[in-house]
Amino acid sequence: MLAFTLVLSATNGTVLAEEAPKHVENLIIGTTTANNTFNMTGQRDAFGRMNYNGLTQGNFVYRDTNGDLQPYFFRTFEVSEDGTVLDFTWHKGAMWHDGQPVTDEDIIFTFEFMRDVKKVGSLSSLEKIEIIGKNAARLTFTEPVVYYWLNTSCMNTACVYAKHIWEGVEDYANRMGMEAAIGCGPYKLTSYDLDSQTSYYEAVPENAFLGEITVDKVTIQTYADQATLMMAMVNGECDAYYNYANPVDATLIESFIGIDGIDIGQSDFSGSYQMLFGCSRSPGDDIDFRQAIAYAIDYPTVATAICGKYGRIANRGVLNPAIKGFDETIGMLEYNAEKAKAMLDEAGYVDSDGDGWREFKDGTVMDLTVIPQYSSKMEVRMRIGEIVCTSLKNIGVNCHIDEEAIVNGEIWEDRVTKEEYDISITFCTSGVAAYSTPFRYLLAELREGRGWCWGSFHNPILKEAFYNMTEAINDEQYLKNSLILQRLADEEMFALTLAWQTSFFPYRTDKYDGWDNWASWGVVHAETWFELTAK
Amino acid sequence: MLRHVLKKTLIAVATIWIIITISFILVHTMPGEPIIFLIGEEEYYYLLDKDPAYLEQLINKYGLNDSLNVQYVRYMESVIKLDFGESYYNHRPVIENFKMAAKWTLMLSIPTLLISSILGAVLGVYAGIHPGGRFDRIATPFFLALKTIPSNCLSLLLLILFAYKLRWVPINGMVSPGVEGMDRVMSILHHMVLPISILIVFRTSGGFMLMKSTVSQIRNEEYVLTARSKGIGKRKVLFRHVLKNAMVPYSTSLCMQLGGLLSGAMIVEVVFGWRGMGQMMYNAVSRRDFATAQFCFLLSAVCVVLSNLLGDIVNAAIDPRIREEVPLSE
Amino acid sequence: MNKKKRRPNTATIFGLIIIGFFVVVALLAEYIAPYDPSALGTAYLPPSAEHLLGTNDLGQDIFSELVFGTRVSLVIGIFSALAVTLIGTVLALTSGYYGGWWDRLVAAITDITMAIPSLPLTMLLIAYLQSGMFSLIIAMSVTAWTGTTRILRSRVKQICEQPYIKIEKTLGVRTPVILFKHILPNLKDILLTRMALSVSGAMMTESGLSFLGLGTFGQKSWGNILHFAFFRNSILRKQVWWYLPPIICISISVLGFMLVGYYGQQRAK
Repeated sequence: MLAFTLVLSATNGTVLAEEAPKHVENLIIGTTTANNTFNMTGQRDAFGRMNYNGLTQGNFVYRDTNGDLQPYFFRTFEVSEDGTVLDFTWHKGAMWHDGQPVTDEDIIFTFEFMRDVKKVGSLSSLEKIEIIGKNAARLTFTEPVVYYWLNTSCMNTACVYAKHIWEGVEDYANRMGMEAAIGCGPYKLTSYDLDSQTSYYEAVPENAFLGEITVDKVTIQTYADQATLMMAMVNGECDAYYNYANPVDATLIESFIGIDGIDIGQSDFSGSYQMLFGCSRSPGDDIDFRQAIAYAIDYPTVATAICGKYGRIANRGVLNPAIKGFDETIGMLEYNAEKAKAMLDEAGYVDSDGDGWREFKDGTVMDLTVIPQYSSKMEVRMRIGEIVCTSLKNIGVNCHIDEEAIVNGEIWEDRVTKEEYDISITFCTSGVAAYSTPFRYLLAELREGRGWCWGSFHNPILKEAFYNMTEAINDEQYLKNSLILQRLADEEMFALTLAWQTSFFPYRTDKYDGWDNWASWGVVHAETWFELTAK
Repeated sequence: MLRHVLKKTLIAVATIWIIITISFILVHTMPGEPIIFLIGEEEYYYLLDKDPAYLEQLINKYGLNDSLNVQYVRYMESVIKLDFGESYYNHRPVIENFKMAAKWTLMLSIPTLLISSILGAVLGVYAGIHPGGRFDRIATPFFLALKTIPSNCLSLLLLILFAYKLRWVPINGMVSPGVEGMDRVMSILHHMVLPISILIVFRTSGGFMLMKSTVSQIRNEEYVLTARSKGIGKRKVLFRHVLKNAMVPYSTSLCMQLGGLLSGAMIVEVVFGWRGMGQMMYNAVSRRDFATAQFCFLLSAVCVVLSNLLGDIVNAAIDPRIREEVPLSE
Repeated sequence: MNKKKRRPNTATIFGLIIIGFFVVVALLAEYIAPYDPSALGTAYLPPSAEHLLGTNDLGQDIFSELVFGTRVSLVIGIFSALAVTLIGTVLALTSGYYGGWWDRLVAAITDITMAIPSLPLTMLLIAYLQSGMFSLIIAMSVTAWTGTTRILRSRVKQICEQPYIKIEKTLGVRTPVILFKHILPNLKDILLTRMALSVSGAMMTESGLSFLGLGTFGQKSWGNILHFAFFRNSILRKQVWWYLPPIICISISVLGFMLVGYYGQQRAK
């Protein structure tokens, strides 16, 4: 009957208003995060990460492909001019997965829980939570942090919490039963298999936040690694790849280009590797030195090392095109060893004692310390470190990698916090890039309180513009300060991005329609549940 | 006899206690903030930035701030109560993780032990009886060569050949998703083929070498020659004298392998994505998962000590002389 | 008495040839390798006249990497074996000769160390030490000395039972003389073969550790080359020239040491 209607409408050339889209019976999403924990208060494992897309949870808002906040559980939301009041309405009829309805009490409980029990920092100045109408509420803060809170928490367990499940629970992060997974999102967790690392979800039509839910069931399957996952996708065993901040490796994707029915899901990646100069000591404190070195790094090789043939040379402004506020007028970086040598000669860093290496201006021996950021997956960082060292040595600057810091996280953190490096290589994840931008990694001092601080460029403009940007009360202020930061980086060259990367989130094209590939995110996102249809 | 057993038991208990203490010290003084691994790098830096109070709370909760002594006493207390704590990684009791991982490792190690011990013994005896013969000349270099390829290389090579190129076996993992009942069993067997083949090959070559050298050495010993010269038939000599004596080092080696049943071959498990004890240990050490890592060390110590004990008893049973001969190859 | 008199010689010689070959390559690495292994270039090139084995992900010549890697792998293997043999000999000599509480202590420590799983222990130790060849050697030696010690100790004990040793003891001959002039030479054969086996064991462990990503970062051993080849999915991309040569080198060199160790051992009996 459905097919008949579709055929009719096709031959008519008109689209019937009530033409029902063909539902996807079971969408199988492949991932490489473990399928072990199902607790909605945290972001652990496949379950937690998938909830960035509002799978089982009623996230208040989500960030769309343009970086704008869109309502999800909220039907509408409005930030006051001065940034201290948030008015919002939400969907009526929303239901918890255990059958109970979402009530006003749940809303009030959610914010109290987040502020008092979870102690979310940005909610500390939340003063009043009041219900102002049917499915409408207002939050009043003592500081203008609404824009900031929305942006930093939007896909981060900022969702409705069930009062009847979480009230009085102190150790919420370790709760284990099925009730810890209950939410009011469009899908509910029905079962999981720890041995085969699979979890199963079913649509809950009452929670159709963005329109009709067109995907009836979802299965999340964890694979041991990306290669296995891709093979499974080629076999038709899974339909799409999703992994937070972890696109398929460029060297792996090459083997899967041109295969029938697979789209490699290419897009600009917002994460990036940065190279920071140690600006609090010689020679990093000399702008002439920094500008010279900016020409010395073998960017083409770095780009290939990071991203295969999809890597591109970056510009001088630190941000990349996938990040909100990117300024395209800033000039590109250039690899020109001869120019670098000439600039160093002019700046006074010459080989005065004939040993083949350049010395400081006063003749003392120069041997720069290069520190790649410590992490459990060091390979790419070490390769970049090698390229940087070889590039520097090629123009006569002696350098070495700090062997202690690369195997010991404590030592590494100690060194970078104390600014004991000449060159530091860090990685900005796509998550941080989405709002705080890579400039977070370049801060040399924090405004107050604890926190990590790995930069060394002590400059009031950098600090002020960064905080003005992240604590902006509206879009305009955010963009204005982002521009200031990029221009500062171009002029002062205290850090640079080593390459612009491409991300790959592949998916099958033969069974379903309506895939929408979001830059740096892929095809699995908050809108997928309402847009994907079967062919 | 009783005193002997008692003494050995006391030594065993002391050994286990020393190993627990050493592994505790090693694991806890390892560099690297365990809290980072506990909650994940990104979440750690995120919390450090936005919510340091909560971070402090977590650190206190896991008692990571307490002095080593306090932590040690607490740990010993819990061990005696057989409470091994929670894994830092998935917050499930270590025992639960262990049961799951052990099940999969045993699926590999028990068949390996059975098949390789019989295969190694049979082949080794045959080669030992006819040293220099045709079989020996082929088998010895063959097994020797097999032993020299590092396990990770051999695993990779076989993986490439059978999984990627020929597609005979799946690339990774232990079971295909979504299958039940008999299909599930078949799927598991299918996934098992490669890792178990490699393990059997390695164990058999070890057993083969051992048995062969023991048998050929014994054959030339005086009492055997004496027996032969007495006119006792070849067969009888073989079974009564040679084999019985050859069984001593071989069964010792078998008992030691029993101790390794639960350890899991780390590299093979990592390469094939087999989520057994080997991978669990590897992950625990890499992720500074104190609770799990200590448990693995403890378990391994207990197993080895128990199997040594068993080996001693078996030795005493087979050969009342209890010679101190040490096996030639490991 | 040993019926296989002819074959061990051929096998041992074969092993010695292999070892000799790699030692020569390691010593003359600068002259054999066509490129500086750290020089960057175009990445992922297949084998050609300019690059015999193609280039890796940084454009470095794989053949040159392999040649210089010989040095690293051999150094790690040989020095680990030296350390292990030294520790083993000292412990075996003293505990076998003196006996008593020292002997029991050594036996106890050996048993305990053997009970701790070696690969995880090595992983733990590496986490403590700086990265680099030296730390790797130390970490591996700490777990590998037990086998050698046990075998040497039992042999020393056997020798000490010999009448002439007992006579010397009662005659009051000085201990160092007995140890070094009489006992040690009798251990020569078994020492050499244990050393050869230790080298092969150390090289295998090192390749395993590098494969897991725990090896040295600065110097590139064969295991390291293999690690990056695997990391960059060279298997899927059919870059046989990248992942196969290190495997072959590791296997053949380990075989060489094993041959010397095993067949040499046969001769010693």
